Amino acid sequence: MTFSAGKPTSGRLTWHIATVLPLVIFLTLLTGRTWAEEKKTGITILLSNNFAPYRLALKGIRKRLEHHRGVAYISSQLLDNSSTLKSDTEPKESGSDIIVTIGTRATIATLNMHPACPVIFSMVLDPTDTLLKNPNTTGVVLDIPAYRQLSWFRRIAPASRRIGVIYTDDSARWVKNAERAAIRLKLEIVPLHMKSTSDLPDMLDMLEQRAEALWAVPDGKIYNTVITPRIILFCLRHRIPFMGLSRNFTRAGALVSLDCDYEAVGEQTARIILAVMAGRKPSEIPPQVPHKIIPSINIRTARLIGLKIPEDILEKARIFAD
Amino acid sequence: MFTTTDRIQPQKLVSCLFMALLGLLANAAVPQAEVVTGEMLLFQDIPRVVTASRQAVTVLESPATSTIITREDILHSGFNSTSELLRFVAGVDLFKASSAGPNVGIRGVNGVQANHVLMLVDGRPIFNPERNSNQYSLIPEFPNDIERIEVVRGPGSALYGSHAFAGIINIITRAPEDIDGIDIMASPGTFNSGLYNFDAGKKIGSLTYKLLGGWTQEGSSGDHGNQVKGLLKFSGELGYSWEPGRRADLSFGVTSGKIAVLPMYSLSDFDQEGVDAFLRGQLAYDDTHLDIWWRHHHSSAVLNYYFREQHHNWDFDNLNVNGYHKFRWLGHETVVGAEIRSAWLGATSYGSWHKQFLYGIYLEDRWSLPWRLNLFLSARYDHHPLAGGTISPHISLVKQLSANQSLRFTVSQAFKHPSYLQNYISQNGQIPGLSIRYAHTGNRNVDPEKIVSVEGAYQLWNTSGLQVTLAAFYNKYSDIIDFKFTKQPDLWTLTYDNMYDMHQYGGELDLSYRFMQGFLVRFNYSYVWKQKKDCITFGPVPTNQINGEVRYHHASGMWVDLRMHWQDDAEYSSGIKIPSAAGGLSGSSPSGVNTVHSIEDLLATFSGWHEMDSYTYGDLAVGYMPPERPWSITCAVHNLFHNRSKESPGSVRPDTTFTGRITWHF
Repeated sequence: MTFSAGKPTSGRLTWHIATVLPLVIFLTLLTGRTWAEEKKTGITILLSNNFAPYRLALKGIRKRLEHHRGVAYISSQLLDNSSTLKSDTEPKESGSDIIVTIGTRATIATLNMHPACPVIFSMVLDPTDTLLKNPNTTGVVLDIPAYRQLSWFRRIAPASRRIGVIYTDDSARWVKNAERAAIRLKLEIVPLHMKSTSDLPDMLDMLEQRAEALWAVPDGKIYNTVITPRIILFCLRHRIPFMGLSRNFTRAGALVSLDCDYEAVGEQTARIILAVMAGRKPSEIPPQVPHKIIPSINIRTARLIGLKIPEDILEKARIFAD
Repeated sequence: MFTTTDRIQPQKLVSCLFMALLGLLANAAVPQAEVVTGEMLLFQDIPRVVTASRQAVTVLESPATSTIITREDILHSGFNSTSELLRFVAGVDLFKASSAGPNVGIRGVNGVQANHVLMLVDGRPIFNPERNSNQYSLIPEFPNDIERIEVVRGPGSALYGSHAFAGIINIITRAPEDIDGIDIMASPGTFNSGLYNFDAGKKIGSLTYKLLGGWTQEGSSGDHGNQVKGLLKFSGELGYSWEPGRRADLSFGVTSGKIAVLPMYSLSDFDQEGVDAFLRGQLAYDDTHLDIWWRHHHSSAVLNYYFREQHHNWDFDNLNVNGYHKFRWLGHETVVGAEIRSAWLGATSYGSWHKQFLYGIYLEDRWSLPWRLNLFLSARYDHHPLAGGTISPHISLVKQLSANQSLRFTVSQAFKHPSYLQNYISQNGQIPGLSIRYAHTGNRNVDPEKIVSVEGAYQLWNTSGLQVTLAAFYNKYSDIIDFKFTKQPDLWTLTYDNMYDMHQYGGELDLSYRFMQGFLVRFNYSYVWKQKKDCITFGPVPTNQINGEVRYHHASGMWVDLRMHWQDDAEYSSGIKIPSAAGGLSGSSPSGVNTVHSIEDLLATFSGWHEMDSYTYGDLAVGYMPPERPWSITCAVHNLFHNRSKESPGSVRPDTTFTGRITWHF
């Protein structure tokens, strides 16, 4: 009977083990999970607006970071119409280790509110020097280098050697870049400085007289929804090849434009995010230009101008025929 | 906000509008700070207008005054009937002769027949050749299928031939590649109304396809939801582009169901049931375009025709071929084209089938002149087997004052062929209870109706988001076709003839301003003075109309859209001489037709002038389209102020209605 008393003891032990072990495992898992969660990096993505290109970039970022869900929390929000963040708390306080901005508005708003916070920007066209030289920022711009644009233009319109550029003081730096690129490409840049909108007719007359093609630079005073159609129609009527800023220009009648693949820009931004998560500082990563370019060509415009576009370019390009 | 009790003194109104315009123009003259910057330069859409010209032109260079209702406008409005949106366009007159569909006119030319505006769906006319009225059952009503609606004010026969008399409305549907997936929408409303549809489209390599199907129903708000429209629609499109600029498209569409209509010879509205189908092929080969379509229509109804119920059938087939070629030479851009139409029509009241073969040739030339001038010269010759040949010239001179302003002067002529009814109807009988015979007979010698229009317009498209259009016109009408009634002791004869000449003048001011990335404010004012003529072509069109809209779309995806419409009272002629001769309608209602009372104003017991009251109409829509989500919801209240003034002489008094909508994209 004495020895038999051990059986219940053994049974109790087994019972204890059977009860406690799952509890220990559960608590271990729970604390392990908590520990892992504590190690996750908070990433807040801020969109300037709800435009489709921004959403594509966001899709690209999420797609690239998909495999890193275990180490990062990703949340996204829109900038409201007054260009302010919905929360004015410090990013660290709100659980964000990295702020990613998509578009110029979101980038500027974030830097105004949190000048010391590291920001990775994406989808910013024609960024200011202040942004580019800020040690806390890096990212992917939408600017396609002048050399790359002009080399495409030369392939599509090889007979046009004198390239006109209508610009204002806001876009003067593009002319300097283009002049440097033109020397390497054996082209000549014809700068046409526009002081006010009323100069446009004179600029177009000078374009016709002095240049053989027109290259658009990012400048809202010139290339807006009011003036751009006039420039496109002028070029069509005078058979001047025109390189626009985006496929919307090509659709409206420009001969050619180079577009970024916005989703690829998002993926490119995600690679910078991963580098920062790995410990690199934004100041160590120079801002990048987009890697993936998609040309768009208006085939009807090409025919009106009398250009035959090489097959290999047509195969790569997005074609507009209306 | 104006109500029927707040009468406006015209002088004060004009002064206020003038001062507002001056203020806006002064504002527009100073340099604008809000210029598109950053990546918005890449995303911005470059606007174009195609309906006013077969060539692509900018709005500032357009040879006619036009308004574009964008997809954004359609989705924000919350309307289940896109045609309702036309009410808010400057220069457009809209009333409802029956509960099911609107009568749409432009610049004062609107009546029960409403057959002086050419309505197109992707460039294909949807008028019914029997009365030349637009077939409202064929208007695409599914909001997520429409890309934009272009409304061109002023004659357009130089390009589009007959029916483009007072203007053109072109409804452009979405391209398959823009749908890029499947959209499903459900939109129930009060008074037994609803709209349920799917829309699928995609581009796969060189192929594009689109399929659309849906059900739309509408109940009369004044008759306890009694259904006045129930239509099943199905359409599809298959496109293939084998080389850039070379493309073939095949499309089809079927609309089946019933709709309440009110033609002028019926004493009450009735349900017309049937099917309307089309098959269309289009070919674009560089600058040459060919468009062939065939349309078949069959419908039937029991209607109250000359004081007794009769069963009627309508059948017609149209085969239309239109081809044009564009080319450039010495500063000119020219389009030359030809169109032929073979049309067969048979109906109970026509005795036999009638066939017509019509053809037209047209030319449009744009000449870029010095001093920033563009000269548009267009002309079209049309031939009708009975009416003979008609020439429609159009001259438009557009001066670009600056990069964002233009001034235009246009002189044009348009025409409208007589309808089958006016040419061929052949109906004889005995008036019940009276020893009088009647004869309703077509006239094969009637000439086309004509309009000569002179128009001046100023347009401003400012980069800040301000758009201003100011237009003034003078129209001279001739050979307007109307009833010709002769009364003998035992025989009443009704036929048609070119009865009237008349003139009109008027103008429109259209303002639109976008600011702070989410706000939109619109305002337009239309004025038309009409010479009084006792004819049915010129119905209850108000002298003054004002529309306004305020919209705010927050970055979170929430929006609110408030629209207002106010119109002056309208004087109109009954244009019906039979009741006068009959000495009243009392006791003429057949059994089973219980809506005679609703058209008593229209078919007045005596021929004369009547007045439709001024009224205010408001719509409020709120919606939510969250970012990164495939769905959106919209709720709308129509006739917000519950203004139960009659918005038309013949239909029921409108009530306040509610609609909800949910859309999902896969």
